Amino acid sequence: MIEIKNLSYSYPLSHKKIINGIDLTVDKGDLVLITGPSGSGKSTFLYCLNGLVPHVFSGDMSGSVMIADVDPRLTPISEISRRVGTVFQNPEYQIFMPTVREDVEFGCRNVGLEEESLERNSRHAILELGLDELLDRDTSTLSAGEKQRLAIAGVYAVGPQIILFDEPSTNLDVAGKQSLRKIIKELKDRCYTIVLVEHDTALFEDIATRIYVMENGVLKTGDDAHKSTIRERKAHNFCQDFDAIIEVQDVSYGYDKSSPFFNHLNMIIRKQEVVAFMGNNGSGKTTFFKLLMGILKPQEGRIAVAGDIIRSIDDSAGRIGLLFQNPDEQLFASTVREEIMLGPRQLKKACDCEDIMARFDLKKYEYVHPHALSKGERQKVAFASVAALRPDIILLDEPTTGLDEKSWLALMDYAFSLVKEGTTVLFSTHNRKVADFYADRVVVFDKGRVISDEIPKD
Amino acid sequence: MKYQKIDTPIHRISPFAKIVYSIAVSLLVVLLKAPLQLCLLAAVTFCVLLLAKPDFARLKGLIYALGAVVITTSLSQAFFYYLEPRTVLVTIIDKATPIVGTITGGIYIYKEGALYGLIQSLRISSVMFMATAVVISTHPSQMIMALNKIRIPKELSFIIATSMRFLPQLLEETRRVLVAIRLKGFKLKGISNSIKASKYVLSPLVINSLRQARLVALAAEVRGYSFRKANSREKGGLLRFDTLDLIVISFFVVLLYVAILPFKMGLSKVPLVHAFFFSIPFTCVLLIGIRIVPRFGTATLMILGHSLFAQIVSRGINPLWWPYALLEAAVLETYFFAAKDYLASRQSFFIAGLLRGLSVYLYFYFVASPYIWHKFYAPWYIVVHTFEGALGSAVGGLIAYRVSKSVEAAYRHGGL
Repeated sequence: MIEIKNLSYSYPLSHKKIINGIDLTVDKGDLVLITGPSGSGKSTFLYCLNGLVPHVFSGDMSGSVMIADVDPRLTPISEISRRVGTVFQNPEYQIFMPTVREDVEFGCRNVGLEEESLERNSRHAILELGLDELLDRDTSTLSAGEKQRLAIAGVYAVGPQIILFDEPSTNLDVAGKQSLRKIIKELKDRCYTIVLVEHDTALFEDIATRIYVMENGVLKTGDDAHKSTIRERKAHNFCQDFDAIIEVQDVSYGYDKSSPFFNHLNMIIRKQEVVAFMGNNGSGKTTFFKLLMGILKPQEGRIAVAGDIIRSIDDSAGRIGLLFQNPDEQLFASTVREEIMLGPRQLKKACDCEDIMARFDLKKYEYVHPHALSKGERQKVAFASVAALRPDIILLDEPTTGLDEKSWLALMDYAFSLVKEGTTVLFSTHNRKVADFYADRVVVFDKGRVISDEIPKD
Repeated sequence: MKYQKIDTPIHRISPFAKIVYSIAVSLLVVLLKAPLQLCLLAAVTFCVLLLAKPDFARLKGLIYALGAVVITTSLSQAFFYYLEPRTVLVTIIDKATPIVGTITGGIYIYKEGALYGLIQSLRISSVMFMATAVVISTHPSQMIMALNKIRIPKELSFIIATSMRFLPQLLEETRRVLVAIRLKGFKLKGISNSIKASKYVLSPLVINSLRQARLVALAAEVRGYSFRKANSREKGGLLRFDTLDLIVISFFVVLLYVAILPFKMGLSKVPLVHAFFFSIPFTCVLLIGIRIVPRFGTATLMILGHSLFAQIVSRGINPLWWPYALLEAAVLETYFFAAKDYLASRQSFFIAGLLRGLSVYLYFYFVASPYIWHKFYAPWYIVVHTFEGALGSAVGGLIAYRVSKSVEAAYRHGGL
């Protein structure tokens, strides 16, 4: 179904071969799982299969590719899309139409399916992906899991022989990931050929026909390189007798005041404690963080940080640092040095920029534009700029999402080094292993209630 | 989104008929002169609005806005009325006062002016009733389909639909960016604070939009939707945009909408300085967008796209806004064509900003104000206001130059 020989590719104006001499044969019904660090060429490899290379990205492509009996270089991209479907990481970007029904039909119309097959295929895709009850729903109101299913349905309806998935589980919670796994397994059982690029290999390794690791544009197999390196729990000298840094007392908050989402919530978090917050999307993790920062105000009760009540976000500036999932939303300056110094300068706080750059290994990028770096490096700059303010508390919003294991392990290690110097770290995650590995305490939310608050087992 | 999902007779009327209704009301606003006729028009449009059953919060908001319109129009006309006979109620500055009196010709409050303003405010009220009725009763996607029927260019319709699709996401991102900058100690309240913060906020918003636009364009391509093919290269069409260009323009249309939101709430209501502050963010985002897709047609698609998008989402279809957008676009396109460069230098950003500001305010005072809204303004006021608008727009141009430099630095190093 896929026959690749000695494939190499470099982007226009670049001498670096992002894909470097790949050979791969995939038979009908195989599921090939590819993992590897960010920037290793995984997504670009998929672009070589779905025709984006060379039809959208010109560059220098050599070797041979045959996919579903066509050479993507000689076939128009609309023709390739009839045979090869692609599901991207963020379904948000691949939904174009206002309603579920119209979006499922969108791809079919573009590739010129006739009305009869269009209707039949769309109906089939809608039923298969369990979207029949959402047919006329506004696509912007769907949950992350529903959007992912819609993205798959849109691809499935066109009737491809091969489906490419580019990190599809990134934005999903535990329930969403399980549902995605089930869908992909069913597609495999129906003899669809699947190439799946994914960081969370544990989720799919038992249904994969083969697992490869991509490194510097080369596919490697035959070892356990994809296996998680997490082995044992990280420990530091946290003690339950430390002073309370966050006091949440009788906090109620919600749009419906008669039955608030958070109903008399109480919680004490101590200095230097590392707390993981878990729960499905919509369980209250983000709302809790927003209340801590003063973005939302409790309707009842109070939240104090180091004894001071937080009334607005201006009160938490410099005391609470926040690292978003997407670092691009918090990089403001035009050099890494300026980025690190922006907060301390504004708040007139002392900051040893050299020390921060050394600690985060950023000295080599001192005068580079932060947005010109790779995603892992951008995340590091964002974190360094938060750490530069020496906040009492650092909030990490799903720090492992979208990063390869090496990158997020490094990120969490930076967080841990700050804890040793007195910072308290709170992070949200869908990954139980990460929570157990790093946290002194794991709090699980469900619909605004704390359903579990415990010390993870060794 | 201001659309209200309920079932009323107005909701059931076809969107196309509502566009015809908008055009008809707009024409009547321009043509009718007698106070009784204007009262009747306001009454009819208000009845149509009531039939669309606006919810209480919206009605309350509308009444506040209406109150503001009536007061400001009556007050401004009480100042600037120049028809005779006119009776002076209060003297603010006598024309014999040295310098200020000479320049302004004296500032008085005239009784007849207040009454005249009250009647003229019926025009704006009618438009507000009409626009609200249309926007609350028509789903944006239905309106886009109706606009397609009146044959707006395919590119424009694609831009409006894509902007609509990404508005919630961009609003959410903007909120997050503002949280991040505030956690660094920047404050957003107050003029100097907001200017200081806006210097930093724009860069991540623009760069993030460009990154996302690229991913959306790739997704569109692999779903078989390509503007290279659907459009015109082979057919020799005038507008040669590919999918990525159009998606970048769509993101900028949303950014234009988002950029002026804070100014709608506060500073735009402050008399005498609002023209200056209102012009800065709009011009700034517009010129960054043109710099990123530097070709003939970008300014037009961005300005018309934003105008129609804002009308569909919140203002209501209002043909009286269209000439503004068309003129603004024509002035910028002509300048770029004549200068043979698309914002390649700081000077070019400054001139483009200045021209945009001048054209908008001159159009308002020399066309819209006398012939559509039938309002009077004193020459000194027109000069001050136009100067402010043009200056604000030029300042927006200079900020755009700075942000574009930063975006290009990221781009040059391969980050985008």
